Amino acid sequence: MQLSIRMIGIATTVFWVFLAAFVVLAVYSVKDLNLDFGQPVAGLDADGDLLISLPITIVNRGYTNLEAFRVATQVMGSDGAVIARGSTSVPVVRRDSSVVTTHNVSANLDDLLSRHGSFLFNDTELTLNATVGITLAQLVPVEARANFSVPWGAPLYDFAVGMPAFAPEEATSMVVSVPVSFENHAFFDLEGDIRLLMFDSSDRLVAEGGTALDVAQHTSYSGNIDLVFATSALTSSGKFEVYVHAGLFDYGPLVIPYG
Amino acid sequence: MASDMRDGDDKLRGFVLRILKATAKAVIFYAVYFFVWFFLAPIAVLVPGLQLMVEAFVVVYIVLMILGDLTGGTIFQYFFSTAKSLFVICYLLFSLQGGILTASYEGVSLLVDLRMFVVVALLLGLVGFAKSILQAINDMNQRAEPKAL
Repeated sequence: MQLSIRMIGIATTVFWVFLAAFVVLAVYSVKDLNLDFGQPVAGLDADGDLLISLPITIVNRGYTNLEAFRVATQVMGSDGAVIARGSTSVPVVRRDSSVVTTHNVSANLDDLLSRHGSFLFNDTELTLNATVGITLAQLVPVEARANFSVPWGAPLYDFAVGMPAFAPEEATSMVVSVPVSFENHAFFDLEGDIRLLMFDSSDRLVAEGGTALDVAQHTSYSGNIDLVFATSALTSSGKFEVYVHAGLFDYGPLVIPYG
Repeated sequence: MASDMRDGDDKLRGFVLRILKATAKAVIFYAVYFFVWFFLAPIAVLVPGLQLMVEAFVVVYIVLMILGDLTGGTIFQYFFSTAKSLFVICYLLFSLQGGILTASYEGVSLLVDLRMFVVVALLLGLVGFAKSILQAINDMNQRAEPKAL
């Protein structure tokens, strides 16, 4: 029995040494791991959706392979609704090697802005949940989570349609000039057009017109849309319908009564 | 009278030897800790209080080891050996929080899943515990066996 006990002692000592060596290896796997997040690039994908790409470089100079590298992001509005999500995974990063991957987060802005009109007109804070995970030394999963607040700038901030100014143009026609103004607080340039439809009191289309938009990010726009219509069609009350068509989204109608 | 004095000398020599053995083992253990810590130092920067925690473990472990060696040849050495194994198991369970370590730093929460490591370490601790019990049983058996005339 004495010999058996002694052998158990030797075996456990050997296993403890292995375990200590494993811990040291795992620690050095972290120390020699280099994660480099590049500059995010925003653009449009093939479907016309907004695509934010984040290049990630993983350099593994450690003693063991790294497994199950994953990045997951989720963008949520102030009401907690998920606006966009994306995930990227790399199964294995072998020792003494590097892997370059791109983390993509896509969002259908058209769908988003049509469902949540407030994003068009109001600046707000978006919540970005990011999770980065990796398995060290093939046995120790590590995960980091972070919540960030990302400011959202409305593309049609402080959108206002001013008082229409009616003026005779010819004997049988009039022109109405409608002032439109807004500030583009978004991170993208606004290119497209704005259309204005004028309806009389019985919802009959009286006139329509529009103007092209080319508003750079963080600049304001102010202009007039002129509509020409027959004097006989003018009623004391009615409504204007405003449609905004941009490359990234379509919005409308925004109904503004007059009279 | 002379045999009593020889017995006393033998006991003293045995005790001094045990002290020397305990000192040597403690020095070697501390040297191993010092060597391993040299490699673990990079994470001490990331985990506040890690060095204090590990040093507390090393101190208690060395004290139990020395007491076990000093009481060598008696049943008490197995008490200390068992206490040492139980201390390792309890220390691992409490210090590693069951294997899921969490930490927060500047809004980033970090989660390290050490359950596999903890399971292996606990099993090794249990084997050490079982070994101490077996040693105690074996010692009691040997004491109980009738000595050949």
